[in-house]
Amino acid sequence: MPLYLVPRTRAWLSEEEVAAAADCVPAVNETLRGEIRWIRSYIVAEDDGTFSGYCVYEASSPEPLRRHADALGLPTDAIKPVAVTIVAAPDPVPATA
Amino acid sequence: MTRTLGALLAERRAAVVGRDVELAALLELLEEEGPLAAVVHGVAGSGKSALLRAFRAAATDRGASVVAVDGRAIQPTPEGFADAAGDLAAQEGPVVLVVDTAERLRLIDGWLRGTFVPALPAHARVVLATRDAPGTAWRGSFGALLRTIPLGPLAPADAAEVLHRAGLDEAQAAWVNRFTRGHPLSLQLAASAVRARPHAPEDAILPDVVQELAALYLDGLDPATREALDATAVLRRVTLSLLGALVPGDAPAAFARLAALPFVELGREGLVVHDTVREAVAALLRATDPVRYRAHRAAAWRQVRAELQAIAGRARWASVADMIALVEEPLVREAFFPSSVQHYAVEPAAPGDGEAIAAIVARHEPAEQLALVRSWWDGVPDAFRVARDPRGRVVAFTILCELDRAPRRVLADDPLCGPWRRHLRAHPVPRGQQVLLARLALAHGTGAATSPCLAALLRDLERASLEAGPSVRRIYSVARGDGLLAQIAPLGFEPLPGFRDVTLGGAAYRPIALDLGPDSVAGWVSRLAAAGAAVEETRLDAGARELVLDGRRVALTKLECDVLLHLREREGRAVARDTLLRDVWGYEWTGGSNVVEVAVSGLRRKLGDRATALETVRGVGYRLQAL
Repeated sequence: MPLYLVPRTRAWLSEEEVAAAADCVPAVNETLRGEIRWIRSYIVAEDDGTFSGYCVYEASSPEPLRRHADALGLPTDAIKPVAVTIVAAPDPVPATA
Repeated sequence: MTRTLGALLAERRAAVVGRDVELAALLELLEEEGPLAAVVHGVAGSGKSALLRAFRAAATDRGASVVAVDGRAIQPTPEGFADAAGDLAAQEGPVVLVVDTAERLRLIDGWLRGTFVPALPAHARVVLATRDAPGTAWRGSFGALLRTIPLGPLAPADAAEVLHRAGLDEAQAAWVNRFTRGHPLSLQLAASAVRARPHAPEDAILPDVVQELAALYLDGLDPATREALDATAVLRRVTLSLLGALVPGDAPAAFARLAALPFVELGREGLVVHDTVREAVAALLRATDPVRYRAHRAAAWRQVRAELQAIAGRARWASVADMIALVEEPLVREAFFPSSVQHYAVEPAAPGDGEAIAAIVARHEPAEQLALVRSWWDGVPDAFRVARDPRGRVVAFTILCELDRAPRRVLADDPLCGPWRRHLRAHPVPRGQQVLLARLALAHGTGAATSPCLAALLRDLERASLEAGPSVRRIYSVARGDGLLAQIAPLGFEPLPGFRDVTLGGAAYRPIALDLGPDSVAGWVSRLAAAGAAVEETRLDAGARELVLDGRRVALTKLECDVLLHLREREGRAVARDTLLRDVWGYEWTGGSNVVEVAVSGLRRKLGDRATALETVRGVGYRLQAL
């Protein structure tokens, strides 16, 4: 399946919302099994206290990614197919979600 | 020598070290322009209860009245909470309601925030101690009037002072604090462990440290105390009667030994072993000696069951909760004793939630279902409960309604209710027992499939059924596909035998029901706990011609078995002596034989303390109540 990068600006208003979303993601992913594989997300804190996300998925097409965002109530700025992946080193960040 | 409780209490009162800033922040509640409510939060063992004790003492010194409620010790319902808090308006002068272990009250969070606290008199203040930081809903409701007080680790100097008071020298204290990192419960346990075993390993780090330390500490306990602690690790609270059933010998002495442990508190309901330690002890025992662990559970089950049968009224809740604590089925346990952070607030639907609910239905269900949900919403809006995410958005909902409150027109128009009504006509519940309709449960993201927000709602549904009290007999529901049924089948929900699926807009719905049995909630919870505790619930095993009484098997004669079977099939109803003779003995008899009396008195003897279930109905015959 192709790889996609999905930016989500100010998707979460608080750390608690990030935690609640992380809690719910596996159940929603289960309903989209075979269409989406969540690879990882980077969550960044914005200056105004909100959080934005940069999420990487494998997906059969952009369409299930839209359904995925709708199920989780998340904004989707864009769904960009990844053209080239350059891995310089393994990701040093341990998974926390 | 065993310390006295008085000495222990005095020691604990003085034992708060290094929480001056937090204490001062709490005391601002008593100031004129101070906050109205405060939430103290921190991980297990961070010293929340100790801080609350210090605050209560300081607030009382300043002339305030303090009402203390422990979330572990009360029924987690609005009634249970209001009962424990008492009439705050009747208190003169400033009054502070201090709620410890508030995470246990997660399911009435919405009610506390939206109804209870706003209705308090103006001179009242509220302090909650809980594991998690208050959600946006609390912050949104109270704004600057809510003070949030996080309890982090103790500063090194304060930790050293705690260890010094516990009798450690400077070098030992420095070493202990390197791996306990200021976590108060760990400090206490480590201090005890170091005193007992000066060469303990030092590579443990939080959060494993408490478990490591608990194990270390346990190794240093005398065998009798260890035995009592092992046995009671299966319990929610330790009372003399429960201890007596679990530990051979001198229960009061064992009680005193437990009470003297640094992680055991004496509460209103008995002794409470700190959750973290209790879980560690239980896990250790389950892994190392599963046979003894099961034996303790079975003994606890029998004692709680006996207490449930002996107690009536409100006090019964404590025993029901004891029984729930023995249930291993997560949907029931988690409803009352949530083990993880709950991100979703569950509360009655507000009038403005109608569209959000309709949107969820439209997302997952056929149009016909949406029309039916709208008629339920118009007819009984208070049957709807919603789960909200931290932003307050409705992410899931349920419809749960008492049959008596469901409007006739809605019932008649809803094809999914047809099988319930027909089943009820064929199998009526005894007078005074209640029927609940669990019409629908859906989550925005996942429909009826397993998800955290739906699980929160189902737990709430479970809790609401329990809360509906000693009269709920049956809960009807429907399951579309296998998703929902798979989630609730462990509770005892089963498809209604002989009823076909109802088709609505091309989707098939299977009518299902849960029968709680004649003893309602208490009996049902006992059965669930019995399954986990490997004890057999009281029942008649007609095939083996045996009566199973709280785990014991008692042989019956053929006639006794047939009489009991006959009466049980007509449970709660008087059966004429002549009918018994005709149907069991197989002949009409008008003479003076006493065969029925002989069989009945034999049965009563074998029923032991349950003999009262077999009643004599003067001038008629006999009646069997719930065994």
